[in-house]
Amino acid sequence: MKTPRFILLFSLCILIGYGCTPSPTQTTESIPTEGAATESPIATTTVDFEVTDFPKAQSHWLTSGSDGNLYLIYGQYNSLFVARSTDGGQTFSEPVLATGDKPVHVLPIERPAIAIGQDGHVGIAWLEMPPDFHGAKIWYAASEDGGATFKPGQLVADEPDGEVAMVQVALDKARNPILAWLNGSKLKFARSFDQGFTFSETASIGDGSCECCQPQSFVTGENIHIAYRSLEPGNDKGDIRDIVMTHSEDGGQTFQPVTRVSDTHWYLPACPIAGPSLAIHEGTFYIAWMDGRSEPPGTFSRGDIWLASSHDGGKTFSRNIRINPDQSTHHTLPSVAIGPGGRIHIAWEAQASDTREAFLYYTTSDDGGQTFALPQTIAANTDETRGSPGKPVLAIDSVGRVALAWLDRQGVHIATWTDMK
Amino acid sequence: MRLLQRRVLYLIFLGLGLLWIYLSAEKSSASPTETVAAPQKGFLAPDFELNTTSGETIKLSELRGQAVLVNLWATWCPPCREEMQSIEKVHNEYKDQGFVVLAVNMTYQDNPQKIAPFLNERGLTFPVLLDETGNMADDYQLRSLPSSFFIGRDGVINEVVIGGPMAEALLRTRVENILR
Repeated sequence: MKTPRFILLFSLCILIGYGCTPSPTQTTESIPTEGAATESPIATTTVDFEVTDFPKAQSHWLTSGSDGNLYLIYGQYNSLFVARSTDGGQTFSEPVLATGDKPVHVLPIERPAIAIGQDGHVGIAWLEMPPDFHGAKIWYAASEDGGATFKPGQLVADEPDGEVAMVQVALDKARNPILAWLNGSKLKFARSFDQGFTFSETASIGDGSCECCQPQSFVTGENIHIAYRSLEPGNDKGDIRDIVMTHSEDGGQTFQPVTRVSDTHWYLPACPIAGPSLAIHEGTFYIAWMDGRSEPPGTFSRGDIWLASSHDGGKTFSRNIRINPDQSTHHTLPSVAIGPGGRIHIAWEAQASDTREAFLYYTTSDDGGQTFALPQTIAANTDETRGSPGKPVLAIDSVGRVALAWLDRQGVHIATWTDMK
Repeated sequence: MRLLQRRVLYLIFLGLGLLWIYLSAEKSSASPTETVAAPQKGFLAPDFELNTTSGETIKLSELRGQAVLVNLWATWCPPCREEMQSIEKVHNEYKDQGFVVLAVNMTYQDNPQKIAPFLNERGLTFPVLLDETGNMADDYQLRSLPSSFFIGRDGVINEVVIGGPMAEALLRTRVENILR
């Protein structure tokens, strides 16, 4: 069969042309991951919201109390301020200087510590760094009037050496503060039995905590729970940085061996700067976190948001469910909260892999975390002067008013809306 | 007449083929490494201009012709702290050959008061730059600390190392690679 010469020549040109075509300058590999929650998204999240600003804040946390109010704590220069909202975050009281003249170590990667007890009791904790930054003093202060005034700080512990960071506080039913913090990779613990006037000797819970990842502690009945990112010996691809939880059933005298929340190891030889977020609803624990298990071991160009739940007080956890549908973007620092009707709310920050775009995403689940709505963008870095929105914190009050706080170069911003589920 | 039609067709197809080659060649005449900035191996290192702890301003693109290690770090990051002495040692070994270290502190996430004592305590002599806004971190798509970018004399990233501490021997090998 005789092939016309021009067809041969044209084919040759096409082949040469194809060979000259540049390969994509940036390729994004999307590795299928087991356990994705969003294979069949049920809806797109859409909420209308208003935003309140705290323009000078450098770090922040938001939490809801059993009194139905929201409490904001934020760091500004070397102090902590507390403000209360009685309308779901739409308006806040005049911020109160809660740390007096004590110098507070304020760092954007560390959440300020606050816990809300019964009858208007508010507890806060902070670190004071010595001039040489070796070790730190850990302080606690309480308010008996819903954060309107704070008593002078009480010294909890004086750690003379080490890299002290990430102090946390929780309150038991008797309004006794329970504190946890990191000293290097050691998870430390101290508590009070007299509402914060005196504290126990510092105890070391374990020597395997990620040094740059915020732990989170809470109390249920007589039990103390601490969720944190582990730092365990791994392999040549890095240390294991899974999410784990430990419990004490005797008021903090002893702690149980850790329960693993991550169902797949994540190896990383670096600081991911991302601890877990947890919420409890009718006895069920929900923990959300970021890890980069979908990446080849030893590399880390992006992470995913994961969720696991426990129906037995944290003794065992469900399989991990991936929350973010998009696996071409880096997702990190989730915050989880549960509405009064059991709806799961999750917000997190995301950064595009091939541009400088950054977003704050929000989604919900009505089936216990099996499926999630397509995420809604709450904030983005469209304004150069604001920078990237990050470090989201969700809080929901007793009537379903949702508040989402985040941090950028212009301070803390709080979006609020009502969700009745 | 038929021969003429065939020749016209022949020329049209030939022209289309040449056009295809031209369009393709135009796109690829400059390789991505020469024109596209991205914090990845094989790409031009994203440019930045930052102040050092001593108040000097350093612009990465003005160091073209030298081999540069851009190391993103923070005082609270243990693997960052651990690899600083190795970086200092290798910097002193190779600086006369045109090796430059730019240790960029993530100041927007760090305590600025902690930086000077940290450097003095360790006797670090290489320039330490301050990313006070997070812009540089965004450009380099910071995901974790430390993150190190080995940049050749042509300004192109030769290797990206996420995490640490980098072993001194491997650090030396990487530096020798970008000095070539």
